[in-house]
Amino acid sequence: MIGALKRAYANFRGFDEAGSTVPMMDGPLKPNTLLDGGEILLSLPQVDNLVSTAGGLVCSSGAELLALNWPDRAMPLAVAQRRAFEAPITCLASDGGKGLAIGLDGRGLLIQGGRHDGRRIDALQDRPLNCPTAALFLDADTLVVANGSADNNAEAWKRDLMGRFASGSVWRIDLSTGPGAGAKMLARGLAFPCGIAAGDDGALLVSEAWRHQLIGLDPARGGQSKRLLGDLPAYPGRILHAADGGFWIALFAPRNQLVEFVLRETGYRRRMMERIDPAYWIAPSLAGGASYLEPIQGGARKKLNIMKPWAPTWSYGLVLRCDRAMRPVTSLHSRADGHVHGVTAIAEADGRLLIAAKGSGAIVGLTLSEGQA
Amino acid sequence: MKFRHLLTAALAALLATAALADEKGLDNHVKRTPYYDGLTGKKVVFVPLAMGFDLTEGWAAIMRKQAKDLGYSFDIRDPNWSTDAGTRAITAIIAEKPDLAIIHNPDLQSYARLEQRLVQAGIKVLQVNLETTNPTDYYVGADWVKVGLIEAQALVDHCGKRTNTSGKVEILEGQPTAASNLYELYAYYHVFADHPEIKVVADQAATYDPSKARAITETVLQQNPDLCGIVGNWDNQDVGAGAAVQAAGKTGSVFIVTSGGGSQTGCDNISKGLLSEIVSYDVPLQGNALNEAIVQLLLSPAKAGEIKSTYFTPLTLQTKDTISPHNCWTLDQLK
Amino acid sequence: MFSSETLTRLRYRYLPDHLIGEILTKRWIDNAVPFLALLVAVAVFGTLIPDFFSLTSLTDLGRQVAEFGLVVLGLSIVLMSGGIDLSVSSVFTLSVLLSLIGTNVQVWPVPLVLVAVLALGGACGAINGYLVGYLRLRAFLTTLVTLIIFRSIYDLLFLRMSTAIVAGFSDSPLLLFIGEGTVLGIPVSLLVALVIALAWHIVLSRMRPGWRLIAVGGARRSAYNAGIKVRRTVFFAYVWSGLLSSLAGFLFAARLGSTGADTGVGLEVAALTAAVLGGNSLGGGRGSVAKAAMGATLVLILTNGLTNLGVSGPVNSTILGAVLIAAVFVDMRWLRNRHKWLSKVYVSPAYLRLPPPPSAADAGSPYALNDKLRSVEIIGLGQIEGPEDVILDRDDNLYCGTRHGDIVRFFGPDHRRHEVFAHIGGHPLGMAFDRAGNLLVCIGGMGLYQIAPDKEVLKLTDETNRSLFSVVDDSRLRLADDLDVAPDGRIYFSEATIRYEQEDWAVDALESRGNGRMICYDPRNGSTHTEIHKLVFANGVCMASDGCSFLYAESWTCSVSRYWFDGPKKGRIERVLDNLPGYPDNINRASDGNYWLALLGMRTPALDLALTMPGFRRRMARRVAPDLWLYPNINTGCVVKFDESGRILDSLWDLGGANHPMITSMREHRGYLYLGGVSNNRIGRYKIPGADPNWSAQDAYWGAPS
Repeated sequence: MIGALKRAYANFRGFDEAGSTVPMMDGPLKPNTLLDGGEILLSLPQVDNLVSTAGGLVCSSGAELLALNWPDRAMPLAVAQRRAFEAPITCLASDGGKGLAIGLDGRGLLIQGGRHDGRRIDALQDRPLNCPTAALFLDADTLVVANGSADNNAEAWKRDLMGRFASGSVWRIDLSTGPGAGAKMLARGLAFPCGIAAGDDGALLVSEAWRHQLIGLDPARGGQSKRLLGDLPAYPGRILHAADGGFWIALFAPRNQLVEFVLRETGYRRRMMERIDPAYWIAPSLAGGASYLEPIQGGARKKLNIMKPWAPTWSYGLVLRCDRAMRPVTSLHSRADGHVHGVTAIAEADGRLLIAAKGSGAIVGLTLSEGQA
Repeated sequence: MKFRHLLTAALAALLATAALADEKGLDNHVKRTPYYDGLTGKKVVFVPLAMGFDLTEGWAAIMRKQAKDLGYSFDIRDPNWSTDAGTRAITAIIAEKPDLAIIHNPDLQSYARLEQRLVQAGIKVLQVNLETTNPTDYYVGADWVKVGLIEAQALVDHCGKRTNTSGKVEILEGQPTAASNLYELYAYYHVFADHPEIKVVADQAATYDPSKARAITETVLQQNPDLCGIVGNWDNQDVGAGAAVQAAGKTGSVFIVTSGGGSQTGCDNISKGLLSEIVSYDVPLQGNALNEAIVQLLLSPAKAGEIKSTYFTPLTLQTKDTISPHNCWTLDQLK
Repeated sequence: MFSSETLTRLRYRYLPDHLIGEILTKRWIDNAVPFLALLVAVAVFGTLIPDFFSLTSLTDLGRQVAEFGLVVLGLSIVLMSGGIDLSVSSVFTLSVLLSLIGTNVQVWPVPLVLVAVLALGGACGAINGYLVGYLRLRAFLTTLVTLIIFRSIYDLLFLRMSTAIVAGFSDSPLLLFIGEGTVLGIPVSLLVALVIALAWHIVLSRMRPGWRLIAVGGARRSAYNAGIKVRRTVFFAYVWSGLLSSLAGFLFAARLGSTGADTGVGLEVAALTAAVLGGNSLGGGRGSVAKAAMGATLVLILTNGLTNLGVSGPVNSTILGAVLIAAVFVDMRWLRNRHKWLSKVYVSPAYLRLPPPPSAADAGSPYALNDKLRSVEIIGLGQIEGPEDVILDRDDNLYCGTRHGDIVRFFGPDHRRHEVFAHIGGHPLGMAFDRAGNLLVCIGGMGLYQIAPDKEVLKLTDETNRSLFSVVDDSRLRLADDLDVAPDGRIYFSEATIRYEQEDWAVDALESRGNGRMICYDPRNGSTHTEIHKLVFANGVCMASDGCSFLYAESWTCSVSRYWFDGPKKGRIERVLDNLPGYPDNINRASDGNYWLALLGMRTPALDLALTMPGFRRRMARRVAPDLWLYPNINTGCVVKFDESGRILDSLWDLGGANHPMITSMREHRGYLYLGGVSNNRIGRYKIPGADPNWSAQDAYWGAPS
């Protein structure tokens, strides 16, 4: 009763009772156009999961796995080899050698090459691994995998967000034991975990997208979690442990005040999810402007035929650089009028930063000066 | 008619004899019943100048006590020194139709018409201590002309012929249009007319305000250091004049005569030397007179305005020699 | 079925919650708080005090209201002028004294007494006015000083005259009538006060001197800059205050026939309390006679009521002081927050259910997507801003409006050179040529204008008849949008919304209520009247082929209708198009006898859904910044061609709006289609395949010049 009254009053006064104000992009997150200034190394629709392996760069595009060739650093990337799988590839993880873990949407995890070649993991302790959003080899026999949501596949991430699900989990799998055994749940009830990295102190870093935060899991202490970085202005995805220490975090879509508002409007949200194609929802997306059926916001209308860079958008390009203690240091942006939106994967090769923008369908290369890194 | 009276009396006597047989005493219901029954449930309203000073608090305490004893209601409407608020209060009373309105008039005229209307509305009006030019059912209070004569005579005694003084006197008026002021003023000048040696060097209104009285007197003393006497309207006001005299170091050499309700405060002021003489109209006495008048008016079958009575309350003189706890009252005694 | 959506629809149809916002915009809403306080006071004291409503007590209250009210009115006038007059009580008291001297001592005739008293009051006011108005002394200190000085004069005179006043007596029946008499049961003094109050109400609300007074109080410097004689205005405010106070004093003297040392003491505080309690702002510039009257009545009821209840004097004064503080506090909060509350409740969305939009995806649809408009020729890029409508004359000159308030003419045939054809000041929207070749233009925020070929600008109309039951004044034209001329010369033009200005058109989209209308201007007698009410963002207008009907677009309902203003079907409305994929804007004739229709933006499923959920939109308007609101997708441009039977014949797109997002108008001229956009910085020229290269709309409609 008191809660309802408080809400009614907050509604009347117009202030925010749920703490859902989108934080300003400021300080280390001050907007710039660095991503747009990068060199486009490869144009590939749906490019994702860019990973640097012992055998070179690999990435995915839909259900296809691609090995990339980069003979000349002054030249763009070339596709060396393609292989199609039965479902869209959701994550890739290299064991440092020949082994590659491949996440398949709705199917599970497949290991190719290396010691456990051909091994399939489609369930963890009788729960289906339906949404393998991130995987990481701790060593050749130990794999950590994030199941983004027990309710939705990775492709339906918008539904997972707008439906306010929080059924993600993180698991450790001991591959040396037999099939079906050796899986241990490290955390559950997470709101779409979709990035894993190993911290310097042995802890696991997991990005929890819908709660806009990065948490640390301590496997030694039963998966106790603590928040390392919160109140992000965008949804965090993949985390890359940088070669020279610190982390790169890909934030795949921006938070938006209108989306936060819709998230609290249960009636509207329910009808929207029932009746409207997810592409036309009031929801974040990896890329915008594909159709006139997409909703737009007042600030995003063109005036004198110019789209303002500060316009509110559903998609954005954002890569965040943090130090070893997960403190933001700097960031790379592609703003409302930019063309490197929906960054889902980051890789480092020869001192260059390679950024896979799934929304814009491009791999962008950046050479970072000392000050920026 | 007479026969009927007789019959009633006879019957009553018979019954009384019967009762006598029963209770071995007299219940005197012939007088008691109409007295008490006639008073219970009646409504009396009092409009003072303001509450919170000795006179009105004193009267109110005495009247309230009797009202409680006899079972009629007694309400106070406090206009707090505002004639305008007072007129509004009286106007409201006209609509309320109590049995009796007791009114303390700020001046000779302001309430006169309203009192007329009260009477027309069948409400009896008892004026207390300050009257209007327009007599109503009853007036209980001082005879201000007499007060003025006594004061003026006292001044003449101290400053007149053969006193070896300058004969200079100061008149401190109260509220210029109030009954007390106008009647006293008449008395002063009437007496002084027979005594040309008395020179009125100042005649100003302090409007019941001691600080004003003090300011006026200070100025007068500067211009006339040989001032002989001061005659004032009210002790609570003129204590300011006393203070000015004291501050000028002339206590005792300037004779200050005034009038008042005879409260302990006044007596204290005399013993402190701030005032020389108070013509007291004795509030406890006035209170009792008021109570008597109230009962009489409530029980009288006469219509409002039919009979107009006056009772001038007795005056006593208070000086350093006469004051004692017996003739100085405090509010606690009255309650 | 009685679903929750049906309930929502019914609730938003029959509960006019937009009226709350409209009422809050009215000036008289300031009176709501004091009026409620007055009602509460009457209710409370009416129940507590017996005989409160009896005739005698009401009559007497009336007399007191008359005297006190005049003083409060005088003080309120000074407050409105931005000053303060504390000396009202002294002027009042002096006037009482002078009245009594006149009637009781000198026994002058009553009218002479009245004149003398008013002269005294005027003189006292003039002293204040001269000191404050001309010598620019501080009002508070100045009138505090005169308060004391006038009072001292009173005290001196009173002492001299008191005996004479009391001894004398006036037996003038006229004086008795003024003091005690009634006319039809109403006390004379109240009648006098009512007449004065009514006169002042008219002066303050309907006449120039009153407006000037309030202007001076509201913003002294601006008033000075506007040419108002500030000093004189202030001077006369004080003179009036003195006059009204002295009249009150005269009435008081007539009623009581006496005065005392306490007469008028504290009156200035009571009057100030009353003025502020009624809602007259201490800061000036805001106040009215009604406020003064309510404040005076409220204070009297309060003080009388408390006295009657036996509350002692000092407590009574304390309560009055507390009420003054509370009134000042409420007044301050109200002033500061009214606009905030208004902005929160003014936007009130309605329920609107649109049918599912036609699909544009498949090639067979008349809306099949294409990019025909992406590669158009560009005219005037960067030279113009906001050409909502474009039009061409017989000599191929191209006219368009700009948001700077100009009408720009590009010279034909190549449209490279341009000039400012006319400067009007408001943003020109729809345009049309009449038979004589005058350019008729709808100007946002201004009305309907005519520009003759010799560039002479003439205002045709800027107001229409006011609707009987509208809360806001809908007689002014707020957003005249598009127009066309009937063969007989009558001009039919649309007004998109009466609730918002042009730049806030999107807020009207959020409401999607019938806020617009169709208006007719008849040049034959210069009259204007509203032809069709309650249209949902009435937009494009175009005469139909029969000459006695026109087509008009309603943007937010995505429909085009036809209205017969003449002929056998006079007064009828028929839907022509009712399920467009976007929001229709201007309609114009095509060379093949059909019509071009601009779609200013496209429907999106998310917004269509929101239109059925008014509560969602209302909360969005309150809690999300306007730049983040859900909008129609106006980043995509589209033009369609349709015929009078409602068939879509063709569609031209600029997907993604590379050149032409938000197309608001198009004109066909000699084989080309010219495109305008209200927020664009260019005009597009598209070659229509197979169109008549000699067709000109002006010739086709009015005939070739003889």
